[in-house]
Amino acid sequence: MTDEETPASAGGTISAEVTPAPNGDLAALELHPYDHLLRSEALPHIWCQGCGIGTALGALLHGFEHASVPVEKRVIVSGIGCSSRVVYYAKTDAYHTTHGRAIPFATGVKLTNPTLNVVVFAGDGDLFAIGGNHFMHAARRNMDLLVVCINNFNYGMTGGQGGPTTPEGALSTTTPYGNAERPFNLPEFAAAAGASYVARWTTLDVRRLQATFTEALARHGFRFVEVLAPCPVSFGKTNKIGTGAEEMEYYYALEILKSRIESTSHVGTEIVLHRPIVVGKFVDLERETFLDRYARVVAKAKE
Amino acid sequence: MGSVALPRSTSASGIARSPARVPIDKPVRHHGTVHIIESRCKECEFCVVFCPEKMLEISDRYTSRGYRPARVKAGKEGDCIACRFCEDVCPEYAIYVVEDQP
Amino acid sequence: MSASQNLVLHPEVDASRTGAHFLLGDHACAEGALYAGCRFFAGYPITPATEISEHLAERLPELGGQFLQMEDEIASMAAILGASVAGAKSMTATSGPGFSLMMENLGLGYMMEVPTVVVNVQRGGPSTGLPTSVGQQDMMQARFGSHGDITMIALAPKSPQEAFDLTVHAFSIAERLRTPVLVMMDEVVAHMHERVVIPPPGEIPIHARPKPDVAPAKYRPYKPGPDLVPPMALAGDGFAVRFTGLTHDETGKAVTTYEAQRLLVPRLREKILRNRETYERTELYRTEDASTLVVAYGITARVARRAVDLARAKGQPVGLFRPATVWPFPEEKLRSLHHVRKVVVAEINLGQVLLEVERIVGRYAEAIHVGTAGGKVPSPEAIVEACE
Repeated sequence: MTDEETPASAGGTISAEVTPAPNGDLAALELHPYDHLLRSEALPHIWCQGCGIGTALGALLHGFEHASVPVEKRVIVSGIGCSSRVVYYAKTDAYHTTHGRAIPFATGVKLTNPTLNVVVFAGDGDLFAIGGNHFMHAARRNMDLLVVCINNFNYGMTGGQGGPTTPEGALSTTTPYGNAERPFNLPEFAAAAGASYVARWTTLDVRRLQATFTEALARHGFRFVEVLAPCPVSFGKTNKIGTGAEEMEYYYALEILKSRIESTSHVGTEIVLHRPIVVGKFVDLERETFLDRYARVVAKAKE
Repeated sequence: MGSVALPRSTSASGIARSPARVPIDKPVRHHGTVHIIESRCKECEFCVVFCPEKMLEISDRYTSRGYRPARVKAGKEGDCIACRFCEDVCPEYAIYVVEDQP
Repeated sequence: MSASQNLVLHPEVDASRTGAHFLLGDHACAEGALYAGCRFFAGYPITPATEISEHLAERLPELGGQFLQMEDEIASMAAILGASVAGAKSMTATSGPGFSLMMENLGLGYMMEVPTVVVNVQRGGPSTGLPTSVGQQDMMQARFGSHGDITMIALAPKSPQEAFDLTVHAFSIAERLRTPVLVMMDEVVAHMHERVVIPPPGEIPIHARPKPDVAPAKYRPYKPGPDLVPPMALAGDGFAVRFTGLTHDETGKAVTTYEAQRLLVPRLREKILRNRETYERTELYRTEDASTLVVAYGITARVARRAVDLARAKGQPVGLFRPATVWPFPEEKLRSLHHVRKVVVAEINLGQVLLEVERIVGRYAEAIHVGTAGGKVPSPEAIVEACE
């Protein structure tokens, strides 16, 4: 179990006063276009300066809108960690569960009310260390869930420990001599376990991320989106990558679009420190979901 | 129901919104006004670094949380091309663009 | 997916099992869940609770409900909480090792105030212990097993009929008080066949969970009513609810301060304690003139009843106090028998409920324990001997 630390900003909220830019037209005093999708009274959020989670959440909210998911059908289930705090800011039905257990909780929600569009939003440690077993089995069942993993290569909430996605050789507070372990290759793991939709982008690919969420929210079955996000106070700092903006540029510079890779070349999706990172959509299949198959079980039982 | 479309252009080229007689070889330039919700800004500089027009900068004033919010550079007020990248990349929902009517 | 829309939200009434049956305890428990309207079960195979899963795997699809075999008990517990927040009456069933794995999410259900039912068919422990033999060794785990200050409700059936009745009762309590409820069976009750009468649907009243009667904008998911139970909006109701295991205020916002903790955690405890008359069940046998009292629950209570008759035949004034609701322990009811001078606690462990009984009667009576280390129910003779 990791601890929830009390973030410095959790004590109170500052109302979102709207300040037009120096050239701003006072008549255009409106709120941010995402404000009606957010619990804006809770802003500013707890994430650190230069963190990418807010960007990824914005892209998901964009996806909800553009996939025309009705407001009352939007459900976000999260676990524990920085990314899992999205439930306090997104104006959806929101469940902040235990560390690693968002996927089985979301499974119960979805099966009870299949009309809901259920998203699991959590971090790499939550989904792939403590919750790895649940990820694998939900993918195997082709459970109707969109799972979003904010991969920042370390445990941010507890102060930057190494985890299941920390690249080999990378530094963290628990790998001070360089990580001796190899990280999970998340797209391949998801695909091998049976996911129907798999994509990976960095937070600087925000437009592609928006399009991916829009597409994935309209699909069925188990969908997985990995978002490579900066964590400048821990991973970025420890590994001397720099500020949040610099870390975003760094990942972006290492990107190779999957669509631009020759099918004969041997560029894999594993992440190796300072080596190119393949991004794009890796799997997009329309397959029978658990609910489709279970409907047949019910029909047979009622015969 | 419940889906309120975000005000944004769907096509960078502007084709979707153009009237029928705009020549295709004449670029349509959009203009916008940047709005910054200073109390939300955490000075991450995403908008400053990633603005294609380089029209933003960090101000020299501090918010009550101790951050210096982004601002539009003096003299650059008319440079916004309403691409909205700052709005999309801002992790704080602290900056947005209102597109000027042509 | 269209064929499966809203499988569970509107449970079909099932009268197919109304009447008298010769049922296995585990099956009676499963039928009790169905009678109460349970239409979502998630579980993982484990002796001696597996028959509950197997029975529901067959029965739930017939009723349009969901049966899901999860990857482990952690996932099972999480899934039934998820099902409940979306509107299903949900349950899981397990035994000691699985019960240990459920502890964290049991606490989540308590903190989030999610109604659900967890059945623990107790076998001998610790660890893998005696998978196929009886135990009552998880009673303190039921009470205190999940971390933090929790106050759990636990019921202990003594027969297949009670496995049915108390499972129905457990759902009723869970829904009314918005809290997880434990059914602490034991292997002997689970694996015995006896006559079980299932009444017609609706004959046993089952409380519904309180629903909000305000507009979504005014709704506060943790604002308690007069009985300290907050009305519960479901996922998909349009209330944009926020449920969390973090310490929170009435709106569901995480507020990790002493002040918020002070308002929330005592209220969760008081909710359980203040409403105890509505769910507390006990059985008294030959206690009027008793100077010695046997306290026993589950299968041990049936053996203790035999012991009371044997002791009475010898002229000893012995009575039986059986809590069907073991937690919170029916303290006032036990104390009302303050004329007793000796209390014999019989249970299949090395002394667990004994500690609570000692606390309650310690000032006026001597408390003695009769137990086994698991694998065997204490004999009537051993209980009689302790009464002398």
